Amino acid sequence: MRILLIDDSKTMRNIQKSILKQLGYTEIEEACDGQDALSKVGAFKPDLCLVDWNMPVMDGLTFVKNFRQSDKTTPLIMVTTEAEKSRVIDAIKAGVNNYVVKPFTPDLLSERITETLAKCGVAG
Amino acid sequence: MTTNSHDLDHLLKLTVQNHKLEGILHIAPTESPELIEPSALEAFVIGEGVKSSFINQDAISTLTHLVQADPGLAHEACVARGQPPVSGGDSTLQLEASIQTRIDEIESRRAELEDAVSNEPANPPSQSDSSEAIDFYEMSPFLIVKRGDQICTLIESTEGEDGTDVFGQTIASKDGKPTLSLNDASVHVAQNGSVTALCSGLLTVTPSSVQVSETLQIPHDVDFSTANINFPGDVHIDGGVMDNFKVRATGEVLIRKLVQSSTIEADKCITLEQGMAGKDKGWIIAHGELHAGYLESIHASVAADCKVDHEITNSTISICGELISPGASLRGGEITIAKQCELNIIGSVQGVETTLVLGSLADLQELLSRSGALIAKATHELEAKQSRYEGFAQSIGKPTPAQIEEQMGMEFEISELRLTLSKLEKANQTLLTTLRTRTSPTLHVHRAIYAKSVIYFPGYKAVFHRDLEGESVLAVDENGGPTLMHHDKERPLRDVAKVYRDQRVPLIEQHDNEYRIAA
Repeated sequence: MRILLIDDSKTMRNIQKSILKQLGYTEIEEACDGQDALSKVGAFKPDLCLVDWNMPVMDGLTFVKNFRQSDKTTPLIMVTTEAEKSRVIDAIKAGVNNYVVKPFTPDLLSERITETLAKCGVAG
Repeated sequence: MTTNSHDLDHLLKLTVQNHKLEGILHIAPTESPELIEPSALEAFVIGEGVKSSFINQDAISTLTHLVQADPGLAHEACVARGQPPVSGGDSTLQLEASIQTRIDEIESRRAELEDAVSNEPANPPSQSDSSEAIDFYEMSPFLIVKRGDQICTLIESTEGEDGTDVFGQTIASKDGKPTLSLNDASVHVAQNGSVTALCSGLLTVTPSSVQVSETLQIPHDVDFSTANINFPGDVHIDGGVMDNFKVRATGEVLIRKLVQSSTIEADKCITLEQGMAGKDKGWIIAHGELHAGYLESIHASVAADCKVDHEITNSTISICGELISPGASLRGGEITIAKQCELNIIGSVQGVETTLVLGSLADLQELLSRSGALIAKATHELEAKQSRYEGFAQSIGKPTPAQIEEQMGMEFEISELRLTLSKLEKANQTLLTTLRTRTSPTLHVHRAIYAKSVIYFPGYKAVFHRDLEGESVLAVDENGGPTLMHHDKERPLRDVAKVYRDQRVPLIEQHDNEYRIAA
């Protein structure tokens, strides 16, 4: 399974990558903002994206909206410090399939990934 | 016509030569040259039984002209030729281009090698003398192949073609000599004739055989005639090894005569029947056992057990197994041994400083030391990060998004560091266990340990200030302290040696199923 990590913080990407590797996912690509991610999805063809909200150049919400114009099915999980309910609703309206609030534990992220993949019918 | 024919019968004679492949027509001097005409000659030759298709009309015509020109003389000419038989080709070996090139190189260098032997310089040329200089040490005369290398192609013999003599009789041809029997177990002959090495070793090719030998047998010394040896198998040398040469084998090495200041390395056992006089530059690297008559002024690393029949003098040797040499004297130098050691004499009456390090595995100790340093560094780093994290956590109230991410980053780093530390501690424990279980510091001396001998045990060092003569056994007690049995009776080691605490060989203690280095 190919997973795209979109976060401007290298540390956060390393944390998520470490958790994903422990879960057995090894095909991982990284992007440092929404625009970088859009330039990589065509070639990488991710099966799952983990997207931060607040990023320079193009934020996570704009990425989701752009991405959903051409891809309605690939699961997207918003991983962000934005915890307000209205923000969660905005993200879901834009097309994310699940939501993880930072700080998160490895167990929580793992649980959300499994849950999302099952809901979207993607084999983990 | 009858008269003419009769006359001709007296004038003409046909003989054959060269296995009846040539018919020679002889014409006697005649006064009636008009009788000699081509058709008459041809009729005569056919009448003698010669096959008409073998008759050479031009030769008959020329002969006729000669008779007409000078009838008073006898004439002769070869007027018929049969078909000679063609012999079949013998079975041959066609060498691969790379092998042929190597053989040519060896042949062309042979003179230079012989030159090098006859004019061996007092100071042999070093490999770094000049980039353009010929390195005689590397001019090997041995053709070595690797398993799977294609050596040559077997060209099958061919059948001959029969010939026919001038009378039309068959002349049997000879077939080519039958296929070479390349039935040596060291090569494989494919259906297409391709010959491949089934093992690595020395290639010997003769016109009728191909063989790869896994043993390189040298009936004389290793010198410029052999150059350095690097052989994929066993090497047996009936002579010795001259200064500065190297012998390396993936199998065992056996050398019957004296090894001088050279380097001997084997992946298996090394046997030096006479011994080695290394002049402080000789090296032995045995990845298996080492057995030698004597060792003088050498360096050696032995991965298994070592046995020396007579003397070990002024040498530095590291042995990962036992040193069982009940007849040997150890004088000068330093020997490091992992397991038990048995010698006849240590040191000398003249007080030559001789060092024996017992229960030591240098490579493992080095790794242990490095892993210990890494553990200390990681522990220090972990403490610093934890302290920073705690300070950070206390300093923030409701964290901003950036602070949340920073905090997560810190937690991640701490968790990664803990993981690393745990792996290091596990590796350290494996090293300690290996060191403890693969060493046994015991020394058995039959005749004497002389003053100025220094013996290291795990955690201790004993410096002998008095001679200890007679049967003695040095070992360690359950607490790791050195003990002495002299003539089968316990005796304080301090009677003959000053005993110090020393960490050259770490003393490993066991606590709650875990090993650790004693403080």
